[in-house]
Amino acid sequence: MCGVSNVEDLAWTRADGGDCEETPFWYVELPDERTARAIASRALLVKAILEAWGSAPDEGGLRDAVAAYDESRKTPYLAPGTTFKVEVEDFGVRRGSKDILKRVGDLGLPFLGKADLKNPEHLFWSVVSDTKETPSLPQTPRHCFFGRVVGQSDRSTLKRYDLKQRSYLGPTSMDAEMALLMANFAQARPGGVILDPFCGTGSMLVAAAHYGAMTMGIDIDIRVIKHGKSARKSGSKFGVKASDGSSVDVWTNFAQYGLQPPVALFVGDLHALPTRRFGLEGTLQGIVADPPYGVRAGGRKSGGRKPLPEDYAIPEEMRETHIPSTAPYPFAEMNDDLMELAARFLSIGGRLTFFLPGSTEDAEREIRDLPAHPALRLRWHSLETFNQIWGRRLVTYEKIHPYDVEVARKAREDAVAARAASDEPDLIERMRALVYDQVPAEAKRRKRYEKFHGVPPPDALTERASAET
Amino acid sequence: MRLLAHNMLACNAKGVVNGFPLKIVPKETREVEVDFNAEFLTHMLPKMEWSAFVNAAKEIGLEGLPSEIPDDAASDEEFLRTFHHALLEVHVEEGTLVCPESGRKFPINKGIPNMLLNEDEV
Repeated sequence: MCGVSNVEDLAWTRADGGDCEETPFWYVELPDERTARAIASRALLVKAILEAWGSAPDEGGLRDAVAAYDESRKTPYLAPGTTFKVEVEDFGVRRGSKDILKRVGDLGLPFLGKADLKNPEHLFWSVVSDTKETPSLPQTPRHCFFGRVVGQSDRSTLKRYDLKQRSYLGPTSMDAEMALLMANFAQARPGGVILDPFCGTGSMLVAAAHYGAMTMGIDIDIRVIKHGKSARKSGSKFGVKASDGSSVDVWTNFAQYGLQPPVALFVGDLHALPTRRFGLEGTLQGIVADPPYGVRAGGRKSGGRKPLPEDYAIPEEMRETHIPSTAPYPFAEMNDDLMELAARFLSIGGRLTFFLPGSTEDAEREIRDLPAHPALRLRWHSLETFNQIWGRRLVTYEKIHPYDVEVARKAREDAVAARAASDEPDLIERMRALVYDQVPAEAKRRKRYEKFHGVPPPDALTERASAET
Repeated sequence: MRLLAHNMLACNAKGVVNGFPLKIVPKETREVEVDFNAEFLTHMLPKMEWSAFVNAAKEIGLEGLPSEIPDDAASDEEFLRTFHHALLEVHVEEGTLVCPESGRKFPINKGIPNMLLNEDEV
């Protein structure tokens, strides 16, 4: 893992000289090849890391650039007795030449080794990036690159953890790529403990365990983590139950991949954490969460559906079998609890990574208002869009100060007071308004009415009349 | 539930001042081998409530843990192995956790303690 812990401090520069944020080619200075390979082995969104031998806006320029590149860096990889392969990895190019022999010839490099297409010692990429003919792509200046591949990411991991093959799934199980990315943000690694306080079927913990971390999960829903459900007949498209009546649960998901099962899994509530009140500071290396804000249905915490009288008690004879009722878990309170959890349980340098709802239009305000805590520093945020209007924002915090009860208490009080003083709708209310935009709902209602009655609804007529006047 | 989890869990029901450590009443236990990771063990060691851990180990039939953490714990491989086994390799599959103060019982089924409080306990 050498150097990888500081990967966020690296300076990335656009490799094509343009100013488009979405260019797929970036330069980055790395201390050595080992670091490059280590990064490539964990990265999911980076296809490969290359030692750039040269780049230029056109082929002639590329030839000169490669010729000018340090001879001692090139010779060992071109030497007699070695095997090599050159791959074409163009971007956006529709009609350009993919003739490798011509390209290699144009470079003017003395390849003295033997071409081996199956198992080459040295792999090179010849890249032309030209987006002019593909308007759907972000437009970047035409550029040619040549380089030696140092490390490539292993996208087969995504296939291995594809949810379609997962034994036990819930409606909100995190997809494999996102779960693995979150495990990367949380820097899951052997020797560390990763907690998911809303673990559900354990999809994010499976990803953390893939990277060798110990995992812990909490969920308030006893049905999800404990009971599991009936196993389905393997290969059945329609979810037919297995004939042996076997069942699957969270443990099954870890066993399926031969991963270490969670070191702790319990039914509990983030809002009333069933942990001892002292001495656990710094236990966790990372926290991953996909909190059940539910733009549709909010999360739950323990407590009565309605406020209970002070002296209310469940009758003694009922206690054994009583199923605790839950109360709505307000969005802001859930965030406060999550930040508090991280401030308290993470070790210094540990990461909290979780999703918030987010929109494209109001992004500036949403980023300004991201949750804050004196013990935590916001490291990254990025919006994944579901459509043109909204999506979810992945945020990552790093714990930078030791936990201080007084500081944390004051931070929470201040946050609560600030919200009480504000008459703006909170993020979740704004998201609800966005998602359940009144216009399409009204249009649907009219359509239904018209289909049933054969005429438009009376209020619709009135509205149209008033619009014409 | 393994002893690592037990060492963190407590009863935080309304009115309970000291709900730690929970007494373990095991009905069924199981041993599963776990890869030894010294880095993880030395990281966890200072977080442990040691006497609660030693007692809990006894409750599930595990002996051989020293009553105090040895001074040179990090380099004492034999100690770390014993610690590793008690911390991670023994699972309480079925049983009960009992609050030392209120007597409130938390069931453990399929290795998962149900720590959820009733609405009159929060």
